[in-house]
Amino acid sequence: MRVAVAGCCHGELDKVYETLALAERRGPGPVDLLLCCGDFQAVRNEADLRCMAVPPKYRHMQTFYRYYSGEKKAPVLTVFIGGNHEASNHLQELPYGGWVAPNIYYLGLAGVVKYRGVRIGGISGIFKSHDYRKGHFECPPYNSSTIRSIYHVRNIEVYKLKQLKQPIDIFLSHDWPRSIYHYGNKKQLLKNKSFFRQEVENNTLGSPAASELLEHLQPTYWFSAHLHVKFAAFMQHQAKDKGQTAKATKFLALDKCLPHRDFLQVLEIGHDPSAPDYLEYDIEWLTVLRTTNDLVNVTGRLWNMPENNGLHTRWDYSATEEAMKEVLEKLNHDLRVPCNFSITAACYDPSKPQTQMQLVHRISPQTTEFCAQLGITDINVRLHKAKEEQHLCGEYEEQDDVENNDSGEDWSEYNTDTSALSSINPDEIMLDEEEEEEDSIVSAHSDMNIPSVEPSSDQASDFSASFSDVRILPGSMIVSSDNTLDSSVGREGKSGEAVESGDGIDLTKVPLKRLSDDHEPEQRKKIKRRNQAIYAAVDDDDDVA
Amino acid sequence: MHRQNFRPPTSPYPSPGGGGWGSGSSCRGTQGGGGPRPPSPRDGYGSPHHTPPYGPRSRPYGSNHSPRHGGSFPGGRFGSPSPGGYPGSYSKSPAGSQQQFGYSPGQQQTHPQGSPRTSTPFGSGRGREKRISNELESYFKPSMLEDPWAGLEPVSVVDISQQYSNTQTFTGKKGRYFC
Repeated sequence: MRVAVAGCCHGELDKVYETLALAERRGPGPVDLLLCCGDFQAVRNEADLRCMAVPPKYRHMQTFYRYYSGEKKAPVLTVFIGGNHEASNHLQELPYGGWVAPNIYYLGLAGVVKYRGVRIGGISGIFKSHDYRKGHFECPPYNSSTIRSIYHVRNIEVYKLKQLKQPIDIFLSHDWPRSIYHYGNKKQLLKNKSFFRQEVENNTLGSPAASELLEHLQPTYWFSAHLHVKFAAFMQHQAKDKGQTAKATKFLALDKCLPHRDFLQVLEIGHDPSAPDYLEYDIEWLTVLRTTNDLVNVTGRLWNMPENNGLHTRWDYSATEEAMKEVLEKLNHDLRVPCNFSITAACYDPSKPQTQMQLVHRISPQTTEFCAQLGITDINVRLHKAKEEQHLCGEYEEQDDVENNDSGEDWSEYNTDTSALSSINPDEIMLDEEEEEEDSIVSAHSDMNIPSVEPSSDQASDFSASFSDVRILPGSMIVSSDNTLDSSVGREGKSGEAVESGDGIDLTKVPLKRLSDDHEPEQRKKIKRRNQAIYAAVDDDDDVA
Repeated sequence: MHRQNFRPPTSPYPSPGGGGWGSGSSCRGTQGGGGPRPPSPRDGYGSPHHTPPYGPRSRPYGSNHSPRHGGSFPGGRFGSPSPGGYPGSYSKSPAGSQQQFGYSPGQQQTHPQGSPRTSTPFGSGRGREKRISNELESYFKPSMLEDPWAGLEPVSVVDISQQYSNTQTFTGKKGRYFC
């Protein structure tokens, strides 16, 4: 079947579908499925727009609301994951996935579905070590910290996905698995994006969580976005068992939706002709959701997932045949994803913009139905209860969040003044150095003067061997409780911090292109390092995105 | 807000395949006093020409998308069909969206002799369509249809890990791992 893959959409649904239609006409024919790798921006209204982590100036409604209202319809079944530019309150309503509009399906925090027999999995968000071991404690209204932490990948999702044993055909992540760049034309990548060099050579670019999943799942295809560059790689895994053929993964990252950019790819992917041509739940994944239901954590406290270390009575949550049969019974042997989309929020009306639209923490009827059928907990129901009990939505006991730049403002849900939100998003990357129409905001806070680190060796081969450190992360790792200070990509970068606001609209105060990091400007001011290689080896936590 | 008694409204439209959508034109949720919206095709999801609830487009050619087995790419459960080689069918885009931007390659908009019927401060309707067409062309790249892995050979994780001998995952603080 023909599958189209899109990189960062940034709400440009019209353009994606129009381009897809043109590609269908120019190519071998109609496409069956569109996969979008995040930054989808399913913004329904002004309240959703406020929950998107972009500087206020770049908050644009874009076109999704028309699909939500029914004015337009997605011409092809669309499945997407979340990135770091999302209507987080909207996606939060669907932690286990659901329809955001007719024919447009969100996979959830993590999820696996099937279409024509093809198993499609995905994990939403981007990696940030500081929040990785926390529960899902955020809820609207978000503050300047939770508006970002809400989309940070959590260990529980990786843990659930690692319970899967059956082969996965396609996997989606927004940020790249760490190290994947060594399996493609790295030289060309660095030619296109020279400011990746340090991170690529230090093997710090990308998500270690995604890398862990790549090693475990070994899907046939892995699609990503986030870094706004097209990059293909071909990775041959180690055979898990002797006698077994080693699997390989074809990785493809795509650009964002702009003219002359590689944001779309049409692929021929094998499928099962006898499998139904509607979206189905995946029985193994549903079973894992049930087995791990007791692991739901809605606090901000750091925690480790169960493992066989003598501290846990259970550490294997994989789906047994018996458990899968039980789930099948619960679904009456009907795995079709029900067509139960409904409009639950007011839709943007351009003729009547609402500047004071109320932000509500909703319980989605789709999630209610799903949880009831499967017998699992809606995270948002738990959050509501916790909120009632503690009146501490968005706060947590162990305040080791050194990056919290919340000045203590009272974030009323009616607060439409977004100027207090930092215009500098440490999760953002300024990637597009070649685009004259884009500017990137570079923070003036940092005054570091950090010499660039030259690679120790520079081979002519396309697959450069010149980096100082390779991380091969073990399958189960423990983070110490004092792991709070995340490394700064800025340690080796140029001054300032880059912000990429999406939609190709970025502001530059100085023509410096660098990868942002997770640090707030205040932190980076304190860091002045000379030998980057050493610190790169120590501070390996963060993604640069 | 917990909707205990929520039932998705049923679609007013017939639902082929037996799995109709809950939404319909009657379901406008909490919208209050919204302005009129243009009608939208509401014949289910997927292709408007043949209406499964959602999913793929209709295909006049039925069998040429069978998976090919024994491809050179190991690990694919259904084989790895090579790109291209399909006779393909011409546009299956929904008519509605086509009309929205008016792009239709190979088809020329014809005007009667004389002045164009539509005239805008930005030029004639034909000029506007051409501008839209040019804009759309700027989004499309032929490489979108080409094999992105062409010329790439698989690289073994073993080779990469051997090239870079430092497999130490931390060099300082104890326990700086991820779980």
